[in-house]
Amino acid sequence: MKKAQHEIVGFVIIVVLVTVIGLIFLLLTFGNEEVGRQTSVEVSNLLLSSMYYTTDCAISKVPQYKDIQDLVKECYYHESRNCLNEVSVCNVLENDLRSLISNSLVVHEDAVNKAYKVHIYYSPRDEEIEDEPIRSFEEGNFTGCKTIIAGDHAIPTKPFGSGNIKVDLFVCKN
Amino acid sequence: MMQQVVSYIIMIGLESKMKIKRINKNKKMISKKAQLRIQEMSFMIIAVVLFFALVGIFVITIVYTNITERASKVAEEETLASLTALSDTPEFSCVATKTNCVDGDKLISLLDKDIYQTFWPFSSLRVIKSSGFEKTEIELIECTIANYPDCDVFNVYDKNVRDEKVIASFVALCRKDFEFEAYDKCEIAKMIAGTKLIVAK
Repeated sequence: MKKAQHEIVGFVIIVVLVTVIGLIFLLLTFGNEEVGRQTSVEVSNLLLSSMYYTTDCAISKVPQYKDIQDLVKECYYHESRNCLNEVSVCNVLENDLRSLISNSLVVHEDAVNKAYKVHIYYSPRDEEIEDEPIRSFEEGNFTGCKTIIAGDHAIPTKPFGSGNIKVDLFVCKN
Repeated sequence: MMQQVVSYIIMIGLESKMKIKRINKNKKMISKKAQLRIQEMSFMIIAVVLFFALVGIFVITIVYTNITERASKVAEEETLASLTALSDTPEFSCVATKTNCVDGDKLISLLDKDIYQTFWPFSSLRVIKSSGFEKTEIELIECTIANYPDCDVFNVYDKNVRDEKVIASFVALCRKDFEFEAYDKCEIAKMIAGTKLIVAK
């Protein structure tokens, strides 16, 4: 009777061990993955197209209206500069880019696109120097995303410059 | 005396018979135990193999599902890339060195030209301006030479095929505008191309 009990205990221990090893294996295989982050042609195209959008901001004379790409550079090099209509270039940049992306991606808690984030920053060529944030904004809630789709666009600064201005767009998909 | 010897011999014989029986019984017990152990072992091995087989099937299912998802994603991205390439063709591209940019003034001249139905490998091709993103199909104002640029959609062509899958890509839509002097005015648009689905019969 005792021997049988011993054997049952041994069997249970082996089963538990095998289960634990299996679970650890599964956790190591799938647990390390963060929320899937992928680059997307669609998001990159949206970002690239947004860069060409002609704003209502002219700096030197009308009708030399600046596009979003120009405003990004203006906002980095001359943060306090205003357009001819006395609105800050950085504000025009943020407002126009925000409305462009909101209008293009239908962002809603229950929609396919749950939220989005935009980071505009200067990225020096020297990797030891930290990135310099220019503007960041987001819409919606970035928690519980099924996947995060990313797109980026680099704006060359001065010729032979020491870095690029980068625009990253992250979209949280339901 | 003789009788005593005979009974002694019989006794010895009986005793040895009993001994043999006992040994045989012990042997049988030992073989039964061994059989039980072998059975236990085989059950254990079967259980472990079954467990790993189940885990394996589970893992393969997950991996296979991911592969299918990735394959369809890659196929979609490829079609999107071909759509992006389309916007860079001479028929659409902007005069300025802008990639992923469609010239609205070229686009308006492409309308109502049936020859393009056989030129591109799409079953339908249209460009929707940002003003039409939130409008329904009926609300969209179709672009013609008469109402351009105050319109929403450029219907380049439509072969009116039954089973069609549409793919959209964002493009910049630029045109020449005038305010004291000519300048480029760009906005966001969606280039939508349809491909005929091959339906298995």
